Amino acid sequence: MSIEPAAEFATLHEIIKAARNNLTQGVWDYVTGATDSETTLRRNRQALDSIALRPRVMRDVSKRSAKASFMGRDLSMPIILAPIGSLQMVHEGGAATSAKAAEIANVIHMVSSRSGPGLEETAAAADNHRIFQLYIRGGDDFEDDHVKRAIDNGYFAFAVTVDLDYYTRRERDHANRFVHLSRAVMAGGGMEFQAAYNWDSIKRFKDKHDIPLIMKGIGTVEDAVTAVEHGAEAVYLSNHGGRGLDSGRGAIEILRETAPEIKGKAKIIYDGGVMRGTDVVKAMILGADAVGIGRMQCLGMAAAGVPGLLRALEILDEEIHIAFGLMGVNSWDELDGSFICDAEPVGEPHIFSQHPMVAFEPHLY
Amino acid sequence: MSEGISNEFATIHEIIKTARMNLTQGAWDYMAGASESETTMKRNRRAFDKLALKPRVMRDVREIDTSETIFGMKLNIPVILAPIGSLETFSPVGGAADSARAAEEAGICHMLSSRCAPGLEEVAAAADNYRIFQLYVRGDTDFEDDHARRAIDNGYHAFAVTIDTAVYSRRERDYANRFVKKWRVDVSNDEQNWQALYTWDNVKRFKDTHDIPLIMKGIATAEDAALCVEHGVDGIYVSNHGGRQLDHGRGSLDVLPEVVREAKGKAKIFVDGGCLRGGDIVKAKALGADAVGIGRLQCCGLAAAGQAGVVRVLEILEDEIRIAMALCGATSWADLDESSVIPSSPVNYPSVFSGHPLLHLDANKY
Repeated sequence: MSIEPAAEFATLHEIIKAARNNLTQGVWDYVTGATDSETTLRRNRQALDSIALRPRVMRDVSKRSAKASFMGRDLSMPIILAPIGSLQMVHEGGAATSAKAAEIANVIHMVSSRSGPGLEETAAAADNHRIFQLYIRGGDDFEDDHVKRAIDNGYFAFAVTVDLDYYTRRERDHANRFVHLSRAVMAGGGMEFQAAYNWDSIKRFKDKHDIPLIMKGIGTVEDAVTAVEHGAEAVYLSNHGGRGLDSGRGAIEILRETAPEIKGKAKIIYDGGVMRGTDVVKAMILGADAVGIGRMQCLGMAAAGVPGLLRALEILDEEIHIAFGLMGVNSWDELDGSFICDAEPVGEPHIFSQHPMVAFEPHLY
Repeated sequence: MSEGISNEFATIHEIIKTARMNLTQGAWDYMAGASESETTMKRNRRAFDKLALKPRVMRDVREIDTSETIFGMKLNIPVILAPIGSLETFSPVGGAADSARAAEEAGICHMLSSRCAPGLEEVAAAADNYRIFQLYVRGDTDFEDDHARRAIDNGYHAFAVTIDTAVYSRRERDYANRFVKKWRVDVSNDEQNWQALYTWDNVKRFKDTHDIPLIMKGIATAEDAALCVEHGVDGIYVSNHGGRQLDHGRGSLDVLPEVVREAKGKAKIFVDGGCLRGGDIVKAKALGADAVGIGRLQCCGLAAAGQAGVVRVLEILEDEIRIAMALCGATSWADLDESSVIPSSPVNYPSVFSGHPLLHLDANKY
């Protein structure tokens, strides 16, 4: 597959601006908004903004590489295109657009069960590293069916989302009277299976299936430890981009308390507020094995489809390489806690606080 | 669960916005404002904003019980409509009766202020709801005894005496607006003095004389909470009057833990001050409150749509409570305790409605 990154975008904020122009108010707010007061969302940024990087000089940094490996997959950088429902609202190709970009950029794509075109179609669209992510909307048969199809279609790991037992109040959507695709289709069906899902379900999964299991949406060290005890191969620390429980902690705070307890026993995936290459660096230093990109994925796709998403990934890659150079390291292995320290945030946290040149008129609700 | 999107008011911020349009500047500022620098009011919000809830997963949360029982009242959610003077300003037709009817419809409790129209008997007759009477002390012991007797006769479940208003504060928005409330004009200095000389001896006398649970409303220190317990008070209402009395006080939620340490299990604990969200109620419950009072949101509901507006506020709060409990892995209040919350950083400047960041109201320039 040969598609070039969209070179017309010099910066990520230009991609964000193009996305804003291409999306309706409803879809834009669905993508950028969060639950209730959006406190958890802002804490994701606040937690990242409270970390400073420590530059080390006079080292040979001529052989920098952001390459990483995750569950045996060799990647250009430790990035996962996070699972997002209803991606076809953002770009006509839906999840297939992400899959194609993942192949070309050589990163992982985690496919949401709530996104078109579907498990098989998305797998057929590209020859990329792929993980399937399931929302529990049925009983054991439903789960087993998805696992079997995931294995048959070359998904190398299986994620179950566990942090959205109840669908939350996204007030921008309410204010806009916006009902998005997967919610409209889902109306009336299946949420009770998600609510009932518990640790016995994980035991059953591990006894039954032979595919690495990722538990997505762990928000405390207690639950992370229990996940590892139940044999989960990876723990995906996330607050659902602030779209699950409001008034939660920033995801970096969760990573800080959890990584020391489970590092090496299970892989750690982080997401929440990642908008820059330096954000990826911070999460990796604090113990992540891979970092999920959610909104930035949507914005790249909305700006210009596969080329737009490729350009967003290219800029993240460049920012990571620059950070490596200025911090005096050539690879992820050389980084540790000595490369970060606490710092005061320098602005009010919000979703685009890392892109201060983005200044949209506030939408009045 | 209510389906927010299909309703006229999908969110609480839409209710607040409608209330703003329906109220005069004077009435709006009386409701939204606080005393002097409004620091106490802002600290009420800050106290909520600096706590995080801990999400616990993989528990069976199909059935969530949001109810709480206090003084024999089984409340659908642990919320009481806090006592507010002159509710008729916000709901000119029904006044306090609208709050009483909303309480009945939502299955919660209304605490009626003695400074409200219609009065004690009329509001009790208006609805078959859980009710508590709240008294400002404006007379001698006969005055108090008369109100206590009438409260008992009219089915009030408990009797609250407000004690954080020994003197009336400077509400500077009202000063700037030259806004004079009728119910303040009616209060003479002599009457206000009865409040100023109210002491623990009066509490002792009340307990010796009357057979109705007594709530002291406006406790803001562990020391006074301990005195409440010592005097056999049945309910301790932690409050700084919504930031409308002593300025430069602490946020109510900052005070709650020390009161809980003194009084948990010995008296019921109520709290109000800055509660704008279901998640706020979950935090207060986790820290040991038995019920949470809703003041300004009640006014906004009334001003937006009378009884139906208040019911809609409560419906959305219930929705938010249910979601927050489920995502914290709790199926009843017993599943939550102080380990369910953890310090975190505020991410906004606190203000009266800062829990609703989508709200954009033009600032009135003074």
